[in-house]
Amino acid sequence: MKWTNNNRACVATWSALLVLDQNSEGFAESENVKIGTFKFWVKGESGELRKSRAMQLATMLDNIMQNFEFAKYEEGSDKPGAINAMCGVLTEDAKTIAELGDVIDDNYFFPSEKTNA
Amino acid sequence: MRSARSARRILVLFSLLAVTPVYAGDAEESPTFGELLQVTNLLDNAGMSRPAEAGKPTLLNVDKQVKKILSDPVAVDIINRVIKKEVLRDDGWLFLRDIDFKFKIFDATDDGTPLSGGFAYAYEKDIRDHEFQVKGLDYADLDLSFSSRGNVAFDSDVNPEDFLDTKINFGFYGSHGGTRGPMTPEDHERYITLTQELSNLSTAELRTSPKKQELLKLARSYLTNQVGFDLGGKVAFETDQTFSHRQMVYGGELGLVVSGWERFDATTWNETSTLAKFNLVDYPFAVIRWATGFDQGFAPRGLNFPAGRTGIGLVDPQNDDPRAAFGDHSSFPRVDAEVSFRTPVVDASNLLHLSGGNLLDNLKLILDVIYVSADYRYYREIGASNAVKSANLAEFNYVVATVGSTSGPFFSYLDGHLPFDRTSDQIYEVGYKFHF
Repeated sequence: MKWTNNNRACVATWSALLVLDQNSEGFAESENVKIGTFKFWVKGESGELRKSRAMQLATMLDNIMQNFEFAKYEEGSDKPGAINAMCGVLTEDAKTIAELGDVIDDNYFFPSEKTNA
Repeated sequence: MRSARSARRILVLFSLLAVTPVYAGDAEESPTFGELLQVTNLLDNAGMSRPAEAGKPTLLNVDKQVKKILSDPVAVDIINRVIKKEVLRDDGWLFLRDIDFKFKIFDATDDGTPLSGGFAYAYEKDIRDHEFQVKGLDYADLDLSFSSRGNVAFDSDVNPEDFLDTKINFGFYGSHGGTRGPMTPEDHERYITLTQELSNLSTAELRTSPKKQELLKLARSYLTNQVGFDLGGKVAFETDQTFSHRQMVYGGELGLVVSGWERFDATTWNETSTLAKFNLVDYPFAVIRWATGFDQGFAPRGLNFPAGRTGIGLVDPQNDDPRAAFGDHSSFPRVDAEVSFRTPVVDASNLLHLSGGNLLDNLKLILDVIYVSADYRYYREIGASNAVKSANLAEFNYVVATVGSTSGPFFSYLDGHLPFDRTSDQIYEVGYKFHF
């Protein structure tokens, strides 16, 4: 997926992270920002505790996609699938915001999109 | 001679281009020509592109040459990008997409040992997950997953995190709170409009935009405090990278994360949420924030509550258990606990302002907010023999503390060791993080 503000999934990803105070960069500069720079990331933390924190943040992102963006799940996706997929990205420090946007684009259908087929 | 050398460099460069054939069509995301040239220089310096001397094949010391290259941060960064962008592309190697693999540099700074190249890997796969309704929770799911992660150094003696962990987890996750419900249609419209408009701004423009403040005020008015917990069991295979120490662990664990999203950006005591007022760990840092002008008053943060985890398990050593040297060959029960914490302490741009300089609008972008973070882990064998206790094998403590910005200078301190670490180290690390 190309990182562009013509794609609502990209803007939704970026703005949710801005609201949740995880990233403060502008949209264009955020594409390659790494998960390891997010505010929830604690250096030296175990994989288990990091996953707990990531699940917390992924659940919040899901809340925002549904309650702020009014997004629905794509066909073939559901809430646990979307949350666990986001959690998978959020536990890897080298993954980027654009990669998180990919997962959100794959799992959510936004009102401004024309079809979810 | 000179032209022969140039020809070899071009050959190496084309070899690199050959394994990354789509660069021309994907220029924005790919390593630049200059960066590739840097790698060819590294290869050249390491002797990889030199012709065979009489009786000495070119690849005679290839392992040393590879190690040398992988000790260079620039080369490691470029190689990681090539792997990520090209080897793990959608149109091939799909099964590798979930694997996070990267080359890295290890530095055991306590004894002057030289840097060593190596790699880190992490793989996590949900085998099964299922949502269900639980009274009092907004979200609950059961999850069965497989994960494997670790760090491997080419020279195992300089691996400060010598611990490979492969396991199957079965767990329950529950979350309560987060948002107070859907936005009204009017607020939703405004939210979409504001985010779309703000997405056109640069980072510098965004920082001073009144519309950003309007967006944050609107969206954060819908946030509520969130409590998340997970309760699960695991079967794990733990080893060091040479597999000389191996053990199975069967156990259960409980994790708890509290996020005080409600009014988390408050800067005075009266504005903070009730939950935030109970965050006693953040009190000393709230004083620093107040004293340095970061906050207008004394304001502990609800979003920076410590997160914690505890577990109990049966450890079954498979090979080379250090306890065996002290006459204990048995399996043993072990408890472990972990607490981690991160909070902002100083806005460096405020300090620069207080110092009277206005040089420093540009520096503001570099220095940003300084954070303090810490992670503490504790392992204890239950009912350990006196011999095991005397050998300091019954208890392990491990702490990592860091002060620094998310993108800029940082100072890190590590003390203690994990169960497989060879030495108990005090490691200091000073560095600078860049956004590439």
